[in-house]
This record gives sequence, C-alpha cells and structure tokens, in this order.
Amino acid sequence: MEDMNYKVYVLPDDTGRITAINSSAFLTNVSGWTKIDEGHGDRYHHAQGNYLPGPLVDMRGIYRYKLVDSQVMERTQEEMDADYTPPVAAPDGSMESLVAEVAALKESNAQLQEALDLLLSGEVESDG
Amino acid sequence: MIMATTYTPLLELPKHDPTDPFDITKINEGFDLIDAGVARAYRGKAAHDLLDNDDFSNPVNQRGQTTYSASGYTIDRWKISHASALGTLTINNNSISLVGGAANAYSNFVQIANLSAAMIGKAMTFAVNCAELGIVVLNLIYGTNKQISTSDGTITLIHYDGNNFYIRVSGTTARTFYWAALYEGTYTADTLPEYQPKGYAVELAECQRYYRQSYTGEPSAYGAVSFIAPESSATVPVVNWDTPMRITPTVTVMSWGDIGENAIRDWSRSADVAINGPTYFNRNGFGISFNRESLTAGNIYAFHYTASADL
Repeated sequence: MEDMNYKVYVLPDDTGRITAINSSAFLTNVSGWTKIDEGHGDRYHHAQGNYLPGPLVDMRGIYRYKLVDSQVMERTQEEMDADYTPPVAAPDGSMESLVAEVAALKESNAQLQEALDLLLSGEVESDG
Repeated sequence: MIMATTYTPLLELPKHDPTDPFDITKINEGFDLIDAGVARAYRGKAAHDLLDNDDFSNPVNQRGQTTYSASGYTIDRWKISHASALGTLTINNNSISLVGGAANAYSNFVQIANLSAAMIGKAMTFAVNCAELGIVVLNLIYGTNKQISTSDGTITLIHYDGNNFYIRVSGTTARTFYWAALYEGTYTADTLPEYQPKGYAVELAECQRYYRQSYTGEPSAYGAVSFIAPESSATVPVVNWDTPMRITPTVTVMSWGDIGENAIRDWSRSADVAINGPTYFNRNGFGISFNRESLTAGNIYAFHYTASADL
C-alpha cells in the first residue's frame, strides 16, 4: 500500500556547512539539497529533529555539522569558533568612561546655560 | 395456589413463587436474563476506543479544509493514502463523506495507530458506523493483515502492515460515516460497545501530540508569532507548547508574503526574509537562531509554523 521509506536530505552552504536537514516527506523541491540516507521510522520520516545526534547549531548559533564527500561530520571546535563574531561591546561602565561622559555633559550643559542667559538678558531676540 | 410471576426492577429477573421455589424453568430463565443483563450493563463501559479523532460528527480538523482530495493528512490523524484513484473526503455538519476517485477504483482513508507493542497478537474489533450501510465490523488480530468488505463491495475495512487501519471506499457512490472505533476484544455489530465520543477537547489535545499549526486556514498576520530584533546580540525566538508532541516534530516556518514557506515576515518593512528553517527542536517547542547581521535591529518580525510528528 503506502511507501513508508523516507529519504533524508541536507542543505549545505557554499562551504559545506549543513544549514538544514529534512526528509522527503516534507520536501517538495530538493534542488540544492543532498541526499544522505533513507529508511523507515521516525528518525527518517522526521529527520529534521531526530536524525542528527544534536541540534543543528550550538548555543551561539554556529552550525555544528558539515558535509564531506556526502557524509555528515561534526565540525571541529576550531572551525566553529572561527565562524563566531562576538557581540558589539556595550559601554564598559569603567570610571574613566564615566568621567569622560560627565565632562561631555558638563560642557553641553554650560553651552545651554549660556544660550539661555543670552535669551533672558534680551541681548539676543528669539525667533519665537 | 400459584402466585403470579413478579420481576426485579432493574434487570427484570423473575422472582420465584414462594410456593414453588424449585421451578427449574424459572431458574434457567433467570440465568439467561442475568447473562444478557450483565452484558448489556457493561456495554461501552469496559471497552476503551483505541483510535484518535474518530467522532466524525465533530472531528478535529486543524488543517482547516472542508474537503480533501490530495494524498496526505486530512482531518487530524487520518490521511488519504495510496489508492488506485484518489478519492475525496468531505466534512459535513455531523459526519464525513468518503467517495472513491473513479468507478472500479478505490480510495483509502487510513489511521496509523500508535499502540503499545504489547497489544500485538490480541483480538480486536475495528468498526465504522455508516449512514447507508449501518455498523460494519472487522474482527482481527492486532499485527496480522485482515480485511472485510460489505456485501455491495463499497466499503472495505482493512488492518494492514502492523498498525494501519483503513476505511476503503470503492466506486463513485459516496458513503457517509458517523464514527469509527477500535476495541480490544471480539464483537459483532450487535454486541459492539455503544460508541462514546471522547469529547472535542480531549481529542484536540491528543491530536496536537501529532500535529499542530499556528494558523487557521491560510497564514496571515493574525495570530503570528512575533519578536523584535535586538541591537547587539543574536536572536532566538522560541515557541513552547503546553503538551509535548509525540516526538521531536518536523517544523515548517512560513510567512504570509511572497516567499511563504521557509521565510519570516519583516513586519516593519512589509517584506519576507528567507530562512533555512528552525535550528533548535525538541518535543516541547522549537527556536530559530538568527545572527546579529541577518536581521535589522529594532524591526518587528513574525512567522507562522506547522509542527508534524505524524506517523
């Protein structure tokens, strides 16, 4: 009756990193995908979350697997670390940066005060 | 003087005439009535229906169509399967209708049961209630292929391939069904337990162990999962479910724009953004990992999904 044999496909990027995995049960267009296995049961039918031993990416969002000669292999830690871009550093909150920030605010405040004094003294007319 | 026969109020067993307590006819009549009465009293109480979503008067239908004619899942847990000519399933007000795809052809409507391996070898009864033909029963041994057809040949009940239960409809005459059921034990149409619907909420919760989707009908902005891309870190929008699915499901993420599947919606720009798919999965939910550069910080993004752990 029904063919319950499912093919497992992976989608590598141009460097061979596996960016997606799925089965023939859910793929209508396998262009760009590479078939790596086939079989019966949930591991093949629902390959997306059941075929590989771990998640597709690590906690940093870096791909954990690669395709080498049609075989899925885990990437080395060095390969994965090389893909990682650390987050942009936020202001560090050190005393030096705080002092500089206060000095800039002081200068800005002084300029505003001077402009206000001129307006109140009537030496400069407002456009108002 | 012989007294008139009196009866017990519930099972209506004949009471003995105190002047003639050893009437063997009455004693045997009493046993027969006890036998029938006990069987009647337990009908529907001792049997547990082993199928899912088999109350066709109000089926769980997460996919939302009113008719199905393509190979694949239809109402939850039931699919149109390989057939000589694909037929059509129609959802009516209090039933479903099935019709074969062509004269001299048949269509299969199948549920793959998810029963314990301990059930293999046990006697079971697969039954349907058809508006036109009444109750049709297949007695079987779980795990062993068997089938039975109605005398007119339009309905065949089939147990196949270990755990498949087929309702096969042949020809172009539509057949209407109120329910299906699978019970442990051997019953006839007359002794079959009275059908007891489990209730819509119970069926929905059970069906969502196999399949769920975030939208009704077609994906739209309504009810979409949304998030805001942060300024300085990767983003992982996460969807969690109250009831774990049967296994880690296959998740398909989609937008409602021009790309559709494998895309999310940039709501701030009213444009789709292609993705490869979710990156973290388990039975309780999934997440999609985006690096900082792939999204515009501060923009609102949204998506819909289907999650299938169907058999």
